[in-house]
Order: sequence, then C-alpha cells, then structure tokens
Amino acid sequence: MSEQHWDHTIRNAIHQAPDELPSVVREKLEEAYRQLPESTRYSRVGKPAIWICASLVILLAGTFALGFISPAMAQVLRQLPGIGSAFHAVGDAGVQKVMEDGLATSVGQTVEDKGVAVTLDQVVYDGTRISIGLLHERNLSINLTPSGSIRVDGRFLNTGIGGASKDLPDGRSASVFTFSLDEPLPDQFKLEFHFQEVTVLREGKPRTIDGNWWFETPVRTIKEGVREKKFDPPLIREFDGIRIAVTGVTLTPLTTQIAFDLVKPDRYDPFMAMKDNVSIGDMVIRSELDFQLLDPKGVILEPLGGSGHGKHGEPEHIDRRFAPISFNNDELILRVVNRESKMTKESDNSFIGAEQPVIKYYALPDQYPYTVSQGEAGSITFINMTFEDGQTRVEYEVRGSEPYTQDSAWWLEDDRGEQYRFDRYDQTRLQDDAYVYRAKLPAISQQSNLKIAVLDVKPQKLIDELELVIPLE
Amino acid sequence: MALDWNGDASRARKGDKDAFVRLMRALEVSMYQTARAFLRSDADCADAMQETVLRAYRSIRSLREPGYFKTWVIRILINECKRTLQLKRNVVALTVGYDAGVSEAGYDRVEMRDLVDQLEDSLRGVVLLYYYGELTVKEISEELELPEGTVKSRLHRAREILGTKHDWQSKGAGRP
Repeated sequence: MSEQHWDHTIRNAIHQAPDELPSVVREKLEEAYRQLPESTRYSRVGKPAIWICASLVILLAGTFALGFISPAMAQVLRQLPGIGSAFHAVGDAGVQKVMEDGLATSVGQTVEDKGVAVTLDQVVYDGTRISIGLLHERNLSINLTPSGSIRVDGRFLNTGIGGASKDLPDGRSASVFTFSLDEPLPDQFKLEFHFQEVTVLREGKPRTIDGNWWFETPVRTIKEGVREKKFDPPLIREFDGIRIAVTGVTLTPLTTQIAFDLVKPDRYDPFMAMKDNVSIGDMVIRSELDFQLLDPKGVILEPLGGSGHGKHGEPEHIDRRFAPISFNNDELILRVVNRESKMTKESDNSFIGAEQPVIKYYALPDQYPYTVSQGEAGSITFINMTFEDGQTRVEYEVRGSEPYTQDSAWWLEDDRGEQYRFDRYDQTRLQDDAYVYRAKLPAISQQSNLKIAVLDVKPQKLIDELELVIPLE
Repeated sequence: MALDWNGDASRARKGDKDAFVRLMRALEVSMYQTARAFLRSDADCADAMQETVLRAYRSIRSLREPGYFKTWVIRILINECKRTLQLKRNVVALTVGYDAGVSEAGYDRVEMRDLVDQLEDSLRGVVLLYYYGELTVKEISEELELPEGTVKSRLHRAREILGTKHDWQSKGAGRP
C-alpha cells in the first residue's frame, strides 16, 4: 500500500469517528462554557466589568517541589517612582481601609520581559483573599490563569480572580487583582505571582506577547482584627426551590465574607434564558440571584465580589465578599434578590439589553442640598459642587434600595452634549452609616448651561422569605 | 448543519458567546487529541482544555484573521499543555497514568483512535499533532524540538502501522 493511501485511510477514519470525549473532559468543558461571561455589552450601568473565573474545582495532582522554575529569563529588576499608588488608585473599599491602617505590604519589584515592564506594587492577605496591586504601561491587559498565577511556599494554588484597572495621572496604569482562595494560608509565607501573557496596544492594534513575569515577596497575613464564626449545622432558609445554607462568616479589616451553599432552580441560571430556542428579535428575561448583606442598622454593605464552585447536581459553594465592618455589630442580615433583565436576541445571535435607560436632566441648583428622584429605587441629594481649575468635586448622598447602583447613576453634561463622568475609584465614601460620597469629575471650564443627568434605577426583587439573620455573638 | 467557521469566528470576535461556544464544541475532539500528544492523563487534558477555553474567550479580540481560529486555539492549547508539563516535572509521581496503549481487548469495532492509542509514544504524539491538531511537519518539529526529518520518518512509520492495522481490522483479519 502507498503512504498516500494510508494517509487517506487515516483521515477518513478520523473524520468518521464519533465525537466522544472522556467524562472528565466533557465536564470540564461544560463547566468552562457555563462560566464564560457575556460580552461587556451586558455590563450593568456604571459598574466596572469584573472577571470572576470560578474554577476552584480544578485539582492539581501531586505536590510541587520547592524552588522550581527560576524566573531567569530576560528580566530586569529595578525600582520605579510612584510605588504605593496602585491600591490607592484602584483598590476597593476594603483595600482602601487597610491602606489607611498601614496593613498592606509595599513591594516595589519591577520585572521587564519582551519590553513590557510591570511593577508589583502592593500586596495584602487577610485569610479570605489576596489582593495584588500592579503598576504598568497604559493599554496593557494582563492575562492570568486561575490555577497558575499564585504560588505560596512553592505550591501553586487554584484561585478565583477578579480585577480592575485605572489610568494614573503620570501616564501609567494601576491594576488590582483579587484572588479568592479555598484554603487558609500560613501567618507568613513566600508569595510568588506569575503570568506569561499580556495583551498590549501597539500602533493601535492589540498584540499578545508571551513572556515570563515572575514576582516574589514575603507576605504577612493580617491577624489582628480578624474574627471568624462557623455555623455547624448551617443557618438555612428555603423557599420556592431555593435553599441557602450559611456555613460561616469572616470579619477582617479588609473584608466581610459570607460562606454559603446554594441550591437554585434552573430558571436562575442567567444563561438559561438565552440558550433556549429564541428567535431573532424575541425578548427573554434573564434572572440571576444576587445577595445583599446589611448591618443591624439596615445599611447595605458594599459588595466586593466573590467566587463559587460546585459540580452539576450538587449545591454550589459560594463565598461573597463585602466591605469590612466594625466588630461592634452583633448580627448581620443576608438578603437574596432576583436581578431580572430583559434581553433581545439580535440578528447576529447575541443578546442585548431591551430596556432603554431613562435619563432626566436638571439645571444646576441655586441652593444646596438639592434632591432629585432616581426612579423607583430612590433619590439622590447633591450636597455641594465645587468647580476648580484641575477638577470638579461633588458631594452627594443616595437613599434607596440600590445604593451601589444609584451612587454612579448620574453625571454632569454641558449644552454641547459633553459628559463629565467619574468611576467608582474617583469617589470616596464619607460616612460608614450612610451612602454619602465625594466624587472627583474632570475639570469643567464653562459652567453655564451645565445640567445634571440622572438615570432612573429600578429596584431589584427582594425575596423576603429567604432573609436570614446571622448572629455574630 | 455545517458550521460557518469564518462567520462564527467573526461573531465570536465581536463578543458573541454562543458563536464562540459553537466553534469550541466543533474543536473539542481535535483539542483533546492534541492535548494527549503532550499529557498523559485525561484529567490533565481536561484542565488544559478548560484553561484554553477561558483564555481564548478572554483574548478572542486578538484573533486577527477569523479563518485561523482553529490554529489560534490549538496554539493556545499547546502552550497550556507545555505549561502543565513544566509543572509536572516537579511533581513526585505516585502512579503511572494513561495506559491505553497496552490494551489487550479484541477488535469488535475498529476505531482509528484506538489504533493511535496503541502506537508507541514517539509516534503517537506526532500523529496526534498532525492529524488532529492539523499542525504542519515544520510546526511539529518546532513544538517537539525534533528535526523535521525525524518528524517525517515518524509520520511515515506511524502511517504504515495505522494503515496496515486499519485495513486488516476492517477486513476482519484479526489482530496483526
């Protein structure tokens, strides 16, 4: 027989072979497909897109030996100015607090490979999450892997990853990545943070660069001011096919974390509505369960992300993080809400939001405070506005059921239609027991005909039957 | 219905998750077989493939030419496999994994995949990358750090074995 014949035979046989995969592969792929986030077109108004790669179920076999792989590629270590600014620029409420308390570790290690320099600026770990602050050039996207980015005392950890970036005034950008862990770390440990791929904008085009950026620093776990409470048996609420079982709560200077197991009907799978046979132009309602944590005074704690993992047919284990609170509280309240959004199927088979935002415009007031409606969710009160050469400062308070949407659901707009906006890292919360903020907007040279634009915010559906009081005593 | 590769790749680049998943589903077998050219256990292949799906989705906008979607994904997968291998070098192996090549089962139904599994390692990897991963001889030589001549001779040897076995089994001649 000729080799050409055999080549043809092999190709034919491969082509006709059934598309079967081992079950472990099938499960991992289905899990990956389920976890893919929707396009950023579906992001909620005013909130940064956050990647949560919840692939904590990946288990690496074996034990990794200490000291493996030297980052001895073409790397240069050097110091750069501006150290200590990443957490300040783009840290969440908890990160900002530990910064103020002096609990974050400053590192200042820069690694350069393939012409891309990244500085590991700051690190903090409190038993619930590792947050890492980086400084780098603008328009740089760092591609992390859930099971290969963090090594502690020589052992890679599986993590969930969230992150945010912001441009700095000095021409660089800051990024803060938060890693959710499913196992406690020692009081002191050697942290290695690693990535092998970045995407940069070169001559207007994104370009992926493979390299080796490997950082190493000692980290001390925050131990002071940490309180952990386990519930065995768990605190359980059940209603309408939803079962929530709270297994623990952890209070630290960085985080308030609630751990619970969740069983929910398929109708709360946010992708389920979009998987069915939907015709182009049809509208579907996407439902997703979300969770609020309140202090005893009824103040909703700022949500800071979280992670989850589970297998099909078993309860999903979820860790949800919120802003830190003081120890003085004797209980917390967990609420479950149903976040519904109407989506329409486009001709290219994608789904986009079907509801048009309602924007109302108001002239700048002569007197403060000045209160306007934000629709059914509540209202916003402008306390004062200061127009300076370099920036615009606005103090305001929101009241209502969706404070962490309402707080960024407004902007200033001039008569040419130019909008002056801010993001969550340009705002400072001024009171712990109320949603009072100071926001920094860009400088506005001409204030005549300036308007306040306010979005209507719809309240989410609270599932009262699932409300659960978590005792802290 | 035939998959619209270019159309779906273009839609995926624009953020259409369904199009992306359709493409990935069409590539699953190729990905699995490619992963097996490097990794010994199905669990490792599963991890590498899962990571590939996530990485590809995150960086889909960096895909410049939709027609190269498969090549692009396979390249990401190979990098993932190599990364896994790099980690595994430091693992104290307690058991020997993957042992499909010594099956003594009969041949009631001839599957090319079974025959490939029976090849010795040096041939199996080359076959998997060439036929499932659709890499060229030059690309295989780069990935496996082998001279092109070695890749060609291994392919020749593998074709000879596979073709002969397949023909014999298909004709019911029993095991060679």
